[in-house]
Amino acid sequence: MIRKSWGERTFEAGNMLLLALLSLVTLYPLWHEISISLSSAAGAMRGGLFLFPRGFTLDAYKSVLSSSFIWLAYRNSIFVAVVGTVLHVLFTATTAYALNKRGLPGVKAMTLLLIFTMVFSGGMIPTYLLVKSLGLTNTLWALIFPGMISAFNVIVMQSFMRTIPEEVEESAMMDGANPLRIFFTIIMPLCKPVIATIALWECVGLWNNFMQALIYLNDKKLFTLPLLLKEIIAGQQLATDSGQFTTFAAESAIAATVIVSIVPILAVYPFLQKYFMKGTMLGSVKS
Amino acid sequence: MSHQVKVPHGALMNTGSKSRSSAFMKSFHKHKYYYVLLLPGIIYFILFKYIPMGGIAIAFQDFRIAGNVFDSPWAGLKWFNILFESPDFWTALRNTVIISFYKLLFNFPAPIILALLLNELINGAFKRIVQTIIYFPHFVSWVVLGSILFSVFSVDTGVTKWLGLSTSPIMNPELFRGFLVGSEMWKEVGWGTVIYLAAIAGVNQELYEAAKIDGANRFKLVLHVTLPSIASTIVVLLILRTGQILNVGFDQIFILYNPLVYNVADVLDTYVYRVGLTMGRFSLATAAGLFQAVVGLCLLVFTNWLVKRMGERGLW
Amino acid sequence: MKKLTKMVSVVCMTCLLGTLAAGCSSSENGNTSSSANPAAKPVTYTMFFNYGIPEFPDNGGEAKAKIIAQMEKAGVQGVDYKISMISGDEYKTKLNLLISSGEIPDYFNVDSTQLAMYVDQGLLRPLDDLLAKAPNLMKFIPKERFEGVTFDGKIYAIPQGVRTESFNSPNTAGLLVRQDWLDNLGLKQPTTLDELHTVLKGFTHDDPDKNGQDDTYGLGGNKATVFNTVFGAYGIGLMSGSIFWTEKEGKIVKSFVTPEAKQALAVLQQWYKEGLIDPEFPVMEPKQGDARIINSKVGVFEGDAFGVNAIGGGYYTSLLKVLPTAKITMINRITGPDGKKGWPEVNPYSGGALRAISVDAKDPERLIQMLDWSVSDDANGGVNLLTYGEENVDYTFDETKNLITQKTSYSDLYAKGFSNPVRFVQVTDRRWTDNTVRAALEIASSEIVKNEWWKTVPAELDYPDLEKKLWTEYFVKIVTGVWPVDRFDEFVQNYYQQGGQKIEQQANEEWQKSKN
Repeated sequence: MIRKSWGERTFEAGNMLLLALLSLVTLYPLWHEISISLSSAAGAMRGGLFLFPRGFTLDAYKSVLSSSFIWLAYRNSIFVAVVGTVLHVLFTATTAYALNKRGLPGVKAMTLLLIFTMVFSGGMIPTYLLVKSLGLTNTLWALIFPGMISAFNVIVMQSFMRTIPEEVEESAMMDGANPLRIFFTIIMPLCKPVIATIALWECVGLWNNFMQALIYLNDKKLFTLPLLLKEIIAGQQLATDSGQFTTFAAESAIAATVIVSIVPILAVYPFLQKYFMKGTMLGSVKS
Repeated sequence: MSHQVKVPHGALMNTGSKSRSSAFMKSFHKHKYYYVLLLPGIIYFILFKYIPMGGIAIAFQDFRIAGNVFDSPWAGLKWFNILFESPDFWTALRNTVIISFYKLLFNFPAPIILALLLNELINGAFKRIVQTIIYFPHFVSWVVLGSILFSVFSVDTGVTKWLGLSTSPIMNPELFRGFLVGSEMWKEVGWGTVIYLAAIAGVNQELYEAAKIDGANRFKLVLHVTLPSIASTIVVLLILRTGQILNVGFDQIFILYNPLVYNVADVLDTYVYRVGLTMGRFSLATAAGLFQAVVGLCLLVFTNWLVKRMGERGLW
Repeated sequence: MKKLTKMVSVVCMTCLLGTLAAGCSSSENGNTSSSANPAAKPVTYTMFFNYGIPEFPDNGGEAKAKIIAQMEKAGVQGVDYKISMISGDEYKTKLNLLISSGEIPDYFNVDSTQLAMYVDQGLLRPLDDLLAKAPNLMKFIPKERFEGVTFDGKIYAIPQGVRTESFNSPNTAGLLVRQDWLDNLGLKQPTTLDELHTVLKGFTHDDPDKNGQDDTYGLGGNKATVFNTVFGAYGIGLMSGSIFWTEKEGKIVKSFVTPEAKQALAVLQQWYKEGLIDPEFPVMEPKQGDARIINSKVGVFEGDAFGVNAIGGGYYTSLLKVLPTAKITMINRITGPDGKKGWPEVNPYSGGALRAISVDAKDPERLIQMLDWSVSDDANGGVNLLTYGEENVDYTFDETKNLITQKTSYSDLYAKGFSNPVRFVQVTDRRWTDNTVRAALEIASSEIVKNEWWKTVPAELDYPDLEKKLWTEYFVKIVTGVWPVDRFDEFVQNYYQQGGQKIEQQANEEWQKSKN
């Protein structure tokens, strides 16, 4: 181990201090929500900044979690997030990989048409009519198929794939592997960091998808978490507005729903995190 | 592509086209696996993106909510004229461009710098904790963040006094745009690092080893190894970002703006929301959206051209 | 094929539900309904309302059988209902999508913008002939409310009704004061603008909460506050939902261009400059404004008569938790220098109160029968059952005091399938209020300034930013002293130039017509 210079040590200490400060600042919103979610009605309605819950109560959580549909909503959301993410990553990757082949006839036109869809869209009503004519309304697939590939992610993935040395692929070609095989056994494993990124983006997007759930789902048994939580909040607000006595404020209900929906994502994150660490590529290239 | 396969058979077909078509078949055969990989993408984009694009016609119609999109009477450029003749539209456009430019200038590089700083952390546990915490604000909606920001910068708390201000920056037209930029950075900078961390993770470690042998210090490693290695990701994201130049984030501005800062904060999205959507004028909103898209596409094409001239690989 | 199977299943379901309902009623009601009225084939009405009530069961809950049974006793046969709900702006989005894909519900909420749009596109059924057969609706819905939902001489929506007791007036807003602060400073309830000024000064500078700190403001507010008290003291109703039309020399003008508005702005600016108004009011959400009340930061504020209800769960309840000695009361309207006073009337046909029938609704006569029954006070009428549940199980009714006491909580009522979702026509009913609230309601319904013209004229749709942006900007900037009061004249000029001229002309034409 080489001894670190004085400058290097100062940098490291400064960097740690800076990032610790940033963490504190970005931690506050969550801390605020946790505190409000555990506060009594009067405590939450006093507003301002929260360092601790005021008038500790678990009533907001009790109310949110007592909805007979909550566990069903969790199940629906997990289904949409898992299936949706898998399909999204798979088809984004196949599209990106094929579009990266410069010699492929039609590839440039297709790239342009792909980029076009990032800027122009038909809007909500025509998309709704399409999904309805496909018979997908009031099914969870309506939350998965319309967003199954995104042009943005295709391009991000393409740019990552370009950093893979061409020799890797060429040597596999020499060995007689066809592109499908190369894609699944060599390219996909090498793309782990970017797959982890897109999976995280997509998973979070699907998990929080409120608008599509709202417009496509009618049956309460199919409600996903954001849609159900929104209804619970609205119910709490109606109760407050119509002057009914409640032991917790609408703000607490909102905060509790934020926490309730954030926890599963936090649980997923550590599994993906290792792909963002230095050195994953190296190992896989060598093997 | 499929339409090229359907070369008409019959008398007109000469030997030249035959050889062309067989050459094509050969090329198709050679690449068939790639087309297999492309097939789901092609179906998806035609079905879910290009078919609904017929809805753009709404911008040229007096849109009626009931019935087929094409049953509505045509209105020509009526909605565009209404937009372009309104002075408020031009104010909103100006504000949009200014705010968007500030955000591009400050909030685009911020996650790159943060990712590089994170990458320099030695202590793995600390790094993981920081990485997780800085994502939090991304998961909290602007409604909630708006009320937190209001509380933090209220005259009551003393933060404003400490900053040397007499009123909340939310009420101050001179500070409001800076406030938008800063608060967006606070919410999204951590989340924005995800892609750069992934790109950094993909950098070939041998490059570092080689540079270390050449005696490069940490700063030089970042400058000469890390940055060039993730440059293509940065460039791609930058080009894509310019395509969204007129979409400046409705929620944030809608939550934070108020009559005192209308003249600096009213942007296209908020303007369209007030005069289009809340009035049930879908055609006006669609026309404005189309305008944003066309401008975005032009800028995207321009940036891509610029990038290619500078010797980087563009999107196409 | 798929459509066909779907249709068949829908028809089957409808039949099944119909027979079930008929079966129920026949067992209770010796005289079977189906044989008595064979023509009445059961109809299920789909309804879509703007509510967030997650407790309400998809199938209507245990209440449905009771409701249908009582309906049949009253002679409304073979009716069933299926209610879905979404709250807020999302309601509009979803309704538009349902309409655009041809799944329009039979009966649904509209707001006034949607109403005009849907009428224009021929989506709604004219109701005149139906309402002629609905005596109870006609009894409870004030006549003038139909004006706002009439297009080309035909009625297209059912406005909210009002029960006959005086405490049911839709006007519930007024000025609320911290009585304990008045007592601390030895001040009387203010009655004039000058006295109010004195009170505000006392509340701001004289430490009304006796905590030894200069941390209070006289007048509170939030983003939505328009300081109606001050405008009322100069004789104009500024706005409630939209800016009011006021009569001037034989024609109507928007009240925000009148000289009285300028005088009111001058007063407000003076107060703001003196530090009497909470300086952050223009950026506060209503709940942040409420937080100021709960934290005893402000002593006078605009509010609702229900705000004096100590156990209502609103800010008063929370304030009492923080400070048990606090007391909020509603004070009488404040008189201006010329003896004027008042408060703008509530838009009688705003928000969730309007409901319309689809032009495609099956058998609309029967639907209107059901709606009429739902507000009826008769022995088998629906109003108490739908609103409060079953008597002596869910509520008790004290006839002498005309007081309803709810025994079942709202969320349990919803879970059973009663209350707001099944109040098919909303009729304001405050028989549950106690005397304190009724006294405040008495004040809130007094000295009401009328809006001379409620309907939206076409030009207003073309220039929507005049009220939403132009006025709010001048209003806030003048009140907060960023701009001098004289820039009000510039506002008037801008208003007329940017479309106000046309709006005023159109409104006057229609107003004159309506007077003849």
